[in-house]
Amino acid sequence: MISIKDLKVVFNDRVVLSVPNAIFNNNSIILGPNGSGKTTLLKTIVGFYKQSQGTIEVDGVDINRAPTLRLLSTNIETAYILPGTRLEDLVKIYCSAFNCNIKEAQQLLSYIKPKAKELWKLSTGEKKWFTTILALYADTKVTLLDEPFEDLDPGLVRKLVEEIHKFSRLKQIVLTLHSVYLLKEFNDWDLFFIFDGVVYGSIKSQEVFNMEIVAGSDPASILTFKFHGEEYSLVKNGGKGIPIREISDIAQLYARSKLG
Amino acid sequence: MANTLSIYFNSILRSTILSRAMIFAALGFGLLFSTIGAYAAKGPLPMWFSFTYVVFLFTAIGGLERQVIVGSGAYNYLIKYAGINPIKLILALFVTYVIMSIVFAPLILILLFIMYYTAGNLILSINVAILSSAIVLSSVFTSALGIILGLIMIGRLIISKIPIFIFYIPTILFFVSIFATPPSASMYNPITAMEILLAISWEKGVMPYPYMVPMSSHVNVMIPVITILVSSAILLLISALLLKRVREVNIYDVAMNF
Repeated sequence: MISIKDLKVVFNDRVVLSVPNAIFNNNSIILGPNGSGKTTLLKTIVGFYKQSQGTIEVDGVDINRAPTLRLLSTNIETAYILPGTRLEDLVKIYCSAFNCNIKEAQQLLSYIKPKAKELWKLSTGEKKWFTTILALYADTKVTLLDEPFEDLDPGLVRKLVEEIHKFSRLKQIVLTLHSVYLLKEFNDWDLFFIFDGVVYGSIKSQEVFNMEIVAGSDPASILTFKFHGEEYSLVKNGGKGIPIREISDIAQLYARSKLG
Repeated sequence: MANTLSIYFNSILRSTILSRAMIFAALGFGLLFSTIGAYAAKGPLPMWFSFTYVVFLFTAIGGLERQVIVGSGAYNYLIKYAGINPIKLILALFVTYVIMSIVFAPLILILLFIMYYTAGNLILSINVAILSSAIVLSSVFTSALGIILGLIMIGRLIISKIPIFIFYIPTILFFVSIFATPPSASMYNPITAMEILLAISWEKGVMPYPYMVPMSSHVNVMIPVITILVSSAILLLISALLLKRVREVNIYDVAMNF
């Protein structure tokens, strides 16, 4: 379980993330457009960004105060940039450090055939696959995956969905997405939204396909959120707004910020 | 955990020693400065060896400093969630650069020998013990300096142009030391003390040649040795205290995001 209270992250006097209260109890998805703060949230949970205020607890452990051994793993690239280390050594280092099954991890990593020998020389998709597999196979209580499907080929997306489901039975997984169409792969997961650095939610992922977004605060709203300074409501389908099933990518909302 | 660290150490040691950038830097500096020394400036070989080797070391630790900063995110992750000992992690980097610095010394020496021989200026009077000690001490000091500069820079500067500048900080420090240290203090500044020690190792404690580091006419070998040893120990101790900075924001990460 990840519990966040009064969290604020400030860079250059600008609040980039503000989470008054959020609890990720189960396997969860954080859905938001590019630049909404998904990666910043994950990096703050991992500890790559220092929060200006607030607390983050993972499985009841304050990540900034108590020992965090084998508490969480992540696919954020920053965690894997060890200059001067070759890919094959990187796999050995991380498998040894996080007690993962190196043979199984190597088997999955062989789905990509990188020509480069260092992580920074891989293509974006190859890097994503590499870091996500290492994060999933790490023997930790929680795994945070930042946009795990981004830049992957359809075949790899299919395989990764299978792997994520396999590991979601063993540990909690929190992943970020901006593609709505992938939600159908995670029907029973909790769904959170993030817009302009603020987290909203949660609802069950499968419910979202029967919902639409309308401008303003609707009395029947299941969830209201602010986006580009305007208020919107998530309501059950009624033909008044934009059905979520028609949006393939949540970033499309930027192009339709006047929903009416 | 020991296994993780030994895999990491072997990996970076191999890649650093076989790095094309390092080989190119050693060959480049060796050829350039030995040509200038032997044919243009006609300076004594000891002076040019100490200058060439120290410039090479300071350039190399620019890479070490950058390596600490760029890798801080991964170090943070491994220390925090995999229980890797931060001191041992940094020591792995430190020892790697000490070994690399020692390994490249003979290459630079050979280039200088060849160039001075072809120029007809080769006069040898080597104190092997002092020369070897000088090479080891210089390697230890510069590696400790590279580590501490990297640790200081983590999370401190978030200007996007800074990462380009990082690499040159040790070299700037070296030239400032050479030009700003008064002769009476040159044996007490570890950077100039390194130059002095490397140069006098060729002449059994006497430096009869005009030398680019301002210095007094007679050198007591023990003073630069102690200066370098004490400075290296202090740098390593401060580095141990600064290790908590590995947990702070990676400036590369910030620079790429804002």
